[in-house]
Amino acid sequence: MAEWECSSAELERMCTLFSALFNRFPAGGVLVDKEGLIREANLAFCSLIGCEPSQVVGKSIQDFLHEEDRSDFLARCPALFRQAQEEILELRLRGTRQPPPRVRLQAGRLSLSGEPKGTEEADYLLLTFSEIDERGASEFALRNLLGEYETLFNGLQDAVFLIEVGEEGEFRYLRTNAAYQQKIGVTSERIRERTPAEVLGPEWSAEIRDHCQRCVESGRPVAYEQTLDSPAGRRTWLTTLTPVWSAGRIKYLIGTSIETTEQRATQEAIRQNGQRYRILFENLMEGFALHEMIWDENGKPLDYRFLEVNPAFERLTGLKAEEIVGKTVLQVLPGLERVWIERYGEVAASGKAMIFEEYSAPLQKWYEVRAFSPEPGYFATVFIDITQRKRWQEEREQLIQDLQRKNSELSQFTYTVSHDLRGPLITILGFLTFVEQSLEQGDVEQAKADLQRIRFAAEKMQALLEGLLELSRVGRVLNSLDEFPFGEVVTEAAQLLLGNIRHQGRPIEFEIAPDLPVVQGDRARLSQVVQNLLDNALKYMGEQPNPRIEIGWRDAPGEFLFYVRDNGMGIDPSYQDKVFGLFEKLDPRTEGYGIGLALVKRIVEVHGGRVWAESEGRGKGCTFWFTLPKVHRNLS
Amino acid sequence: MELKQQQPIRILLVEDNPDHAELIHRVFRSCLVGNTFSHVEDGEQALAYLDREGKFADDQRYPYPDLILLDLRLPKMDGFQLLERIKSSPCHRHIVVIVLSSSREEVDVQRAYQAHANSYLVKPFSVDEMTEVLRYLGLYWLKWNVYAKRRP
Repeated sequence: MAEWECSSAELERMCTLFSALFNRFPAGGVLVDKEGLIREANLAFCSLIGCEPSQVVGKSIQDFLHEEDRSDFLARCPALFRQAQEEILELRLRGTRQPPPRVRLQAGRLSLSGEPKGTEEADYLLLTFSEIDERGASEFALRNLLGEYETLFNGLQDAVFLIEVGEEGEFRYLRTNAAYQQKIGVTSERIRERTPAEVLGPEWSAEIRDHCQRCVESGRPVAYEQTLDSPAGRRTWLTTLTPVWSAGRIKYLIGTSIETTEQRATQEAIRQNGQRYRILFENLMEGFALHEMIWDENGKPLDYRFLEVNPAFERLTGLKAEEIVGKTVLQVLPGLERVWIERYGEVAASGKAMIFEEYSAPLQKWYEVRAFSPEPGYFATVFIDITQRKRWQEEREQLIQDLQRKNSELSQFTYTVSHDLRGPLITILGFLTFVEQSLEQGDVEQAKADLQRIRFAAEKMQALLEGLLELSRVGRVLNSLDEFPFGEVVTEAAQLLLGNIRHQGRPIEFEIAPDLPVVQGDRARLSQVVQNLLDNALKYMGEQPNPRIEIGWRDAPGEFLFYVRDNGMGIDPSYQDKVFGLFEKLDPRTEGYGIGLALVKRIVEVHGGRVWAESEGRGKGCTFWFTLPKVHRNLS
Repeated sequence: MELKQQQPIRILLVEDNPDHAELIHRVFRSCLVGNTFSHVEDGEQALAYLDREGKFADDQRYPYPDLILLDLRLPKMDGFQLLERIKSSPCHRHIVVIVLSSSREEVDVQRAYQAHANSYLVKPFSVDEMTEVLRYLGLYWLKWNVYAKRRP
């Protein structure tokens, strides 16, 4: 018993310590004796029931228990005094607090003689009350919350599923919501506790497992799109897996799947449409360009910027997209005509489409342009290169002009011919009548004279017809195209005319330039030209006492100029063009029928040259000029 | 039938083809006796004739005409140019000008009348026709037509 023999001071100190501990104990503590009377109560208990310690000590514990729980407690009390095991009871206290606090009660047996052994009845019970109201409330709230979550979970339109990540890294479905079951067509029961492979088959599950794996490894949400042949049909889903951490590892994955079947279909359609337009844009034969108009502060169009151009644009303009997009047209083509900018300014401002044809000097091309404004301030152009078409048009117009000229020449020719052939016919027919009359009257001399007229008229007609034939031959074909020294032709022609080299008994002075060039052309025809010009010069030498003929040439760009100059009668300036007309003769008394110079003109023109006459007037001589191109174009 | 006016009518033929000139002269002689007939070969001569230049100053040999028979196709100055010159001349435009051409072309006819030709005749192929043409021409222009006096 020595250990009990401690000083009263020591005992008192122990009591104080115990009391302090007891009072500071966070749970409510009460010491109850066998009669159920409270011998000690700590502050926590007092605060549980809302009373002062003085109001509690000495009272029966029953007084502080809720009426409904009292009998239950009393019934268990004897057992509590005898049972070694600590029993936990839940009950409500009774005090001033409303609602009565709900507590968890633990009972500890105490005996004055020491630790109670076996079922030995203890002297006291240490009852500790810990309030469970809060916990209860939170459990209730949790239940409520779970209910709400459940509602939310199942009410979601998105399919939601929960996957458990096993210790070994395997994945199993835990839960799915109603939408999931409805949309995927798999019931919760079928899917629970199963692996993706079991639910979806090996093909898809491998993919899902990969995504899950990725999510677990990265520790971040993973999204993927998947088209599944589920029992509900082929669907496309956009699924997001979100990792849920627990106890230092990812224990769950929450998956949410949004159906994107229609979206995908629309997107696909848009993509295909877009692609179709892109293909159209890329393969359009027409150039296409989108521009932004630039105005000055007064709203006057200044310039425009290239926003987008297609490959045809590059092909048609020779401008490269990467070099011009983002730049303004005046940066790209500083020499561009104002008319382009003004036209486009009108389109961009008014929104009115426009079609026009215009030449671009910097690009040296003709374009046909359709311009329109997709939105204010912007304009687009669709255009084609019509340079070739324009060229053809010009060629066609040239051709038409040529044809018209030829046609009018022809009709002039027909007119002249029919007119001039009628002349001798009138003579022949007219004088035949006179001849008849003369013969009737026996005037043979007169008849002979008139017959002579008839003969000359017939000869003239023959000459005219031959001339016509010659002329038409010249107009049709050139025999061959040779290269020869022009001097040869001149010498030959001069020799052919040797018989005429004396003019009315006077010798003619011939001067031929020694350096006549080599020309291209129909040798025989060009020889005719020289012969006819020389013949003409001799014919119109007139009363010149010192007849002189000079043949020379000049060099000019692209052509040679030749001339035949005489010092004969000359031509009145007003008739200088007329001399080349068919059957035109300035002097009816000279020999010939007005064919020679017409022939000269024809031959020279067929060679692509020109011919003209120069004379200062009558008695002042005459110079006939003609040109020959140095290089011939198509001579047919 | 011979045609005669109180006053003889003076005719000037402008014709470059000597055969045609001879033809017309002969036909004229055969049916239009009593009138005077002169002939020049081209437009320049015709103007000189009208303006009484050079040898044409001789009024006896080259009487100033009341009527001109004009061929259109002439060397140098052609018939149209001559016609225009005559009809734009205050002195000569009163003269009756009858075109006698081998052309039937519409352009020629048009142009002749535009230049105030008084009549347009096509040279016939036969002498008989030519005779007939000149006879009727004579009947009208030489017998009945009243001429303006030459302006001083």
